[in-house]
Amino acid sequence: MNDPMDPERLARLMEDAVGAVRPRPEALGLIRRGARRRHAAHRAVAAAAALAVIAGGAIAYATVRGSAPPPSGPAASVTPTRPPAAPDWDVDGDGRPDSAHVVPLSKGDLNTKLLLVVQMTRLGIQKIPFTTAPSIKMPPTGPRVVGSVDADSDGRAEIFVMVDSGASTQTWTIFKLVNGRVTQVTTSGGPVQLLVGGSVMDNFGFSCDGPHADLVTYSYGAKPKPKSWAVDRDTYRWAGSRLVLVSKRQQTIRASLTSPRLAKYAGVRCGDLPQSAAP
Amino acid sequence: MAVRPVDQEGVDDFTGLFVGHYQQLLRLAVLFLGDLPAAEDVVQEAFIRVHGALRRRRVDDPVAYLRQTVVNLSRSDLRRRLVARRHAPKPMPDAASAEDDACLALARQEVIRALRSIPVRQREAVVLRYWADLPEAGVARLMGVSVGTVKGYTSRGLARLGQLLGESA
Repeated sequence: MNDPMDPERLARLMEDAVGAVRPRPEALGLIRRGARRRHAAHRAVAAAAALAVIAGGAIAYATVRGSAPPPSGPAASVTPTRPPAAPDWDVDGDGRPDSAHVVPLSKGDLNTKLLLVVQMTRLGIQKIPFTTAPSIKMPPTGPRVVGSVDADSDGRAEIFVMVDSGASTQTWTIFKLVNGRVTQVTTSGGPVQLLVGGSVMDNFGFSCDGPHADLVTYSYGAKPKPKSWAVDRDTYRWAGSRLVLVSKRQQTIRASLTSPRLAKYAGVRCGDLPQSAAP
Repeated sequence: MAVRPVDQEGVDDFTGLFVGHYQQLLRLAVLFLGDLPAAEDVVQEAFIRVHGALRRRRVDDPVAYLRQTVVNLSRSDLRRRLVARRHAPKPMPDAASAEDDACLALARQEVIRALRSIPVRQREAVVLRYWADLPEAGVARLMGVSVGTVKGYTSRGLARLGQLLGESA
């Protein structure tokens, strides 16, 4: 049994460890650009909200005067509308359903190399190798295709694949057709990993049903105070085969575990995708 | 520290805030997260938020605001990473960049490894108390807990770090 760490020695060790950490030269520029983008986004949201209020007032005024509101007024132009999505499983965008499945590249429980085989009516068969974490179960109980929906409204359905599952949480990744090739979607330089599911104290989910066809990941976790939850909401925009983080929001909400306010930060809301990849 | 709202005239104040505090906050986030790129993300996001808050004149003490945001974002980042890292695929072999070298050097530090292996709240308490040199009341405010709870976290944190780092001393 060792004695507790001497605070002064600990402070010295920590200082030594991070003493060489220096800001990147471009850090201030990155922050300024980020702040400008954030400010522009806030102004756009505020302008849209103001327009909506004006439009709402106009409709109320028209209703009180007994005349029907116009079928498409300013309110209709305020709400962005996403283009119609491709039918589920139309990966190559030709209007006909395609199919996909995952196969292991070699046998063994520690195999991390897998192949997504996509059979498309227009582009034929494509095989895309990808890797997952070690110590995973193999198909059919392990990685498998969850579903295929047009998450970004580009007229072609993306393929969602469950790559790992724990007791309560699953990790999904996405493949999409870009320039005629099915490619694994990346973010921050690595394959995209969507956390789905959770337990009583932590929950993860995502949505692609918003008006801008952004992909929004959200999660909540219990804070030390009772009925207090830390909620995160990250919004990603599609850019080819990449998802680019455009906003991060964090807030604390006070709600009971069964509150609808909390429930909206859990689960999958993306077309007809299921809530989990059932075996 | 008094900082005017960020506008055309206040640009220098924001630069002053960056110059005066970015590096310390980056190091704080590194101690919390044990990961330089993640720490940079967190601190840059904190500065973007304080920029907006200053513009809207909604912050009296920007340094306290920044520190609180770094603590909150780090905690949130860790919560996500705890799950995500378990599922992370192996990186492809590649030539290491200078930045990778810096990250590896950081990861090799025993104290960083030891900090990463103790519970998050204990880590926050010992880092804020003994590295940031904040009083217990200040740590309690930042962590959103009582002073007694901070004492418990630091005591248990020091005991565990004594086990982890004592053997290598």
